[in-house]
Amino acid sequence: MINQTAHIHHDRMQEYVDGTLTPGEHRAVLAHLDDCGSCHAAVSALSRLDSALKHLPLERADERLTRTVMSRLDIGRQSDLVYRMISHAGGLVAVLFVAGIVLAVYSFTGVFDAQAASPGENLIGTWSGAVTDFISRAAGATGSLAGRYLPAIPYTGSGMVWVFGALVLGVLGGIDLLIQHKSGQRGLLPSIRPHRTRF
Amino acid sequence: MAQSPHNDQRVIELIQAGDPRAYAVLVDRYKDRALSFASRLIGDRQEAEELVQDAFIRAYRALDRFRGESTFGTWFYRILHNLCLKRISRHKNKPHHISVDEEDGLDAVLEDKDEPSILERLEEKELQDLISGEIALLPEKFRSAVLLFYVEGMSYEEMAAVLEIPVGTVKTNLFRGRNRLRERVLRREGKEAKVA
Repeated sequence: MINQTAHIHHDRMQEYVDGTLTPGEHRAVLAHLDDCGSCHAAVSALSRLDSALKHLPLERADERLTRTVMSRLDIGRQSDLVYRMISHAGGLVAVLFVAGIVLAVYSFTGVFDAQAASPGENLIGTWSGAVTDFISRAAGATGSLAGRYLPAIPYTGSGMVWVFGALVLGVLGGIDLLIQHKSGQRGLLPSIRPHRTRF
Repeated sequence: MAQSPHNDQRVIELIQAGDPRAYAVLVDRYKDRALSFASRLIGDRQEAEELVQDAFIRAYRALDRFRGESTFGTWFYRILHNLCLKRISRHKNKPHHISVDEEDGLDAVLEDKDEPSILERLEEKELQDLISGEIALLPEKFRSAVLLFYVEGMSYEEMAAVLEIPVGTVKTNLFRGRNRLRERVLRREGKEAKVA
């Protein structure tokens, strides 16, 4: 029950503003407010605070946020046939890139020298020879250029192919990293870790 | 909460049925409010955007474990709130928040009821700016309660689910946060009066 002569306690005023009083308590507060200017002013002030809090302006998220979240989750692009093909090609490029480096290193040590190789290694040598035939012209051009500036490396025939392959794939990998860095999105190669984006 | 839990549930069913693109609907639906909440809670909009992104990512990845025992909104805000708390604890020496121990006069009534207070005199925009600044200075547990109640429009029960505390504690924190806010706004008036 509200004492009609004493001021309303602040807690009760807040409950009145929140609308959590019982109907009887609500009527009693209303009756007191009719007669008490200071309590009426205090309730008005609380209502004003309440209203201002309820209408605090919303922050607007950057419109790219949804796209970034979906991209980080790889949603949307997963069902895109072209993206899937590129993604798989990206994986293949990654494997070839690593293989190219490994084989290039081995070629520098002479493992792929046909005379020095064991029978098992000859199988690889034969396969690499076929590849050599296919791109030997391009490798030859690269080799002569590299040989001019890096004469210390023992550039043998098949080894040169792998050097050329590693260079090409290295460039592709570099372009891919650049795409990822500039766009904040996935490049051709699978990302090690999803990107957070600041707008 | 302003969002319809039934609509959210429908979208989640679509995702769980194999249409992950439907998640964009939920992100679009919650991103502004989530950003408002996180931004006001940690006091850094850019970091808040990153936390909101992370919360959406975590929520999606855990969606297969979402059983609908709470609404998506409260579940998502729990993830976001926890991320914000971790961020606050990492930077707890930086923001100048007032500790709970500094509480004083929580039960004080308005001192001079015959004068129109600053709450009545200020324009809406000025008052909101003032309040926004004061919210940032509240202790985290009061700030969370005030933001979830007023900015997110959550019920006590929803707030309890997000904050993982009993409803009674939610009410206490909200009450104290609001009191603190009112007192600080009125105290600001006192300081302005002294300057004038």
